[in-house]
Amino acid sequence: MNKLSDSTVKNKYIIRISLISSVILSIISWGYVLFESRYSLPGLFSLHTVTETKEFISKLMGFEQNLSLAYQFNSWFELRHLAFETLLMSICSIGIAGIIALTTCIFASRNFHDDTIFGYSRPLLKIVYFIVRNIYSFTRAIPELILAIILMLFLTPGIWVAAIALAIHNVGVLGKLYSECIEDMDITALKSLQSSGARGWQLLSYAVLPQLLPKFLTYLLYRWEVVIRTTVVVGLVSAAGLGREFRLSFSYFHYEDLGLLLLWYIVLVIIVDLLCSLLRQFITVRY
Amino acid sequence: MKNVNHFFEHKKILTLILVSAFLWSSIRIFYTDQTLISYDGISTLFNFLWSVFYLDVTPEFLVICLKAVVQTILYAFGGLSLAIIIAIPIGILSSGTCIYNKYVNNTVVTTLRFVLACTRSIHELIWALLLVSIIGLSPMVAVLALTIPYVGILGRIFAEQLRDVPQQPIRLLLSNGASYTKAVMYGRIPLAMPNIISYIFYRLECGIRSAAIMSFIGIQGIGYQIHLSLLDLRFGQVWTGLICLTILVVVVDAWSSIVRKALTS
Repeated sequence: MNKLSDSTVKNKYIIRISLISSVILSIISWGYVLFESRYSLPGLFSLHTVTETKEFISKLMGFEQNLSLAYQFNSWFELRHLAFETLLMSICSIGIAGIIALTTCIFASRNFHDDTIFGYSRPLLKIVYFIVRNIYSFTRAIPELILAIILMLFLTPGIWVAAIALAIHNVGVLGKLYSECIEDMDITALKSLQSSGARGWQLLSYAVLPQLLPKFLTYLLYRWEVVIRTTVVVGLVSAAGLGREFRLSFSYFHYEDLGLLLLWYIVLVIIVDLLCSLLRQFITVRY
Repeated sequence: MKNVNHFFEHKKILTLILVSAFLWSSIRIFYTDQTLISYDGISTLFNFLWSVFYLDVTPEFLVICLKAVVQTILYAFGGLSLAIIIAIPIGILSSGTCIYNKYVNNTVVTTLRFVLACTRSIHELIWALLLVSIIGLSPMVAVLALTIPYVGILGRIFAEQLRDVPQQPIRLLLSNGASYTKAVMYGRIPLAMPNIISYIFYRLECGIRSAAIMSFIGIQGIGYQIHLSLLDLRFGQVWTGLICLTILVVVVDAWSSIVRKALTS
């Protein structure tokens, strides 16, 4: 009883301290941002910004030169190859990430090296766990854009750079989610298989996957939605898909093309959202 | 309708779709794209990987990195705090729980959901590029570009959490004469608060990563330092920057998981 109340008091303090410190950090950060942008701040809240915004949006829509979508439908339609390339890139990267995360997640879950399943702890697997976990957090921490910039040093610019950069980042994210799933799973089936002599890979394919595959696929589809949003950003540096055209038309100040590209981008995001909700019906129907 | 349900029960169709989509896309890319590794790429790769052992740990560079890390944290907190402040009223309105009139409620909910979906679907770096061409390069751009998509994400989550609270206390409040607004104020918000706070702390880590990539448009921060060192081909400094970023994200992740554990127990 005493112990319980102790832990609740501790939790209360943890929450209170983190909330207060995050509020203080936010206030400091606003002070810093306002101090750093002191020259542009009066300009930000003025009529000038409003007119600039209006002008920019009308440029984006192509109203200036009668180049809006109604006039430019053909050139919009011609960009479909780039949009298709972007879609392929996202599918490929999420596939690679899913395969690698699926095959390595079992080594990154805590209950596979301590005594919850096997009844004794296994030091060799503990070392593997440590290595794989650290690789996951390293790849998860580095954003896709920085990975793509680094990969551009030794790969030829193109779709593969973007796909590999996205895949490396998503291996970390998916691997962490998957290994947390395995740590929380119901281990009775696992234990009975293990007691009848099944080992690592057999346990993964006959005990873990049948139970957790719906969850894994849900996470995979959720990450696909995120990846299609990031493909454009990675394409900015790796010269692939819509991102390349995006950067080029930014450099040439072709704002009306930019509007068309943004439209394609939103269309792609909507298509992937719809596909994901369709594929999710396969997963949720039995659960 | 029954046929459709029957169709979705076949798991093999799902497997077939996923595997064939992956194989088809990778084969397609493999045949359209040129060679994978560029000229002299392998030696550059080994050079890059080998320089892990030549980390730049001179005090000057570590001070620069620390400053950049602090800047990244500050941008992330600035963007997230503004996003929370904007997302709270939008989330309450788009949850569809505080307006009594049915028609007004429906129109408000659908328009707000559409706006949130639009802001969410465009990546923060694209928002930053667009904002730079409107208000020019300043730290304000980083904060606003972080804010806009995070309003979309947080607003949707707030709305979902406010809608999914246990219904019994709300019904009790309403039957005792509280208005819809008061039921939201004294019933729904206190009930949904722990989940909302835990989700905000979960998003903190993503916010830090997003703040780090604002380097691409020239905003200071740890991503900017990595980018600069990479352009100078000083791989030791690049690795130091990457390790700083990893430590930052891991620390923030540990903090948020401690807070979330404290909130759920």
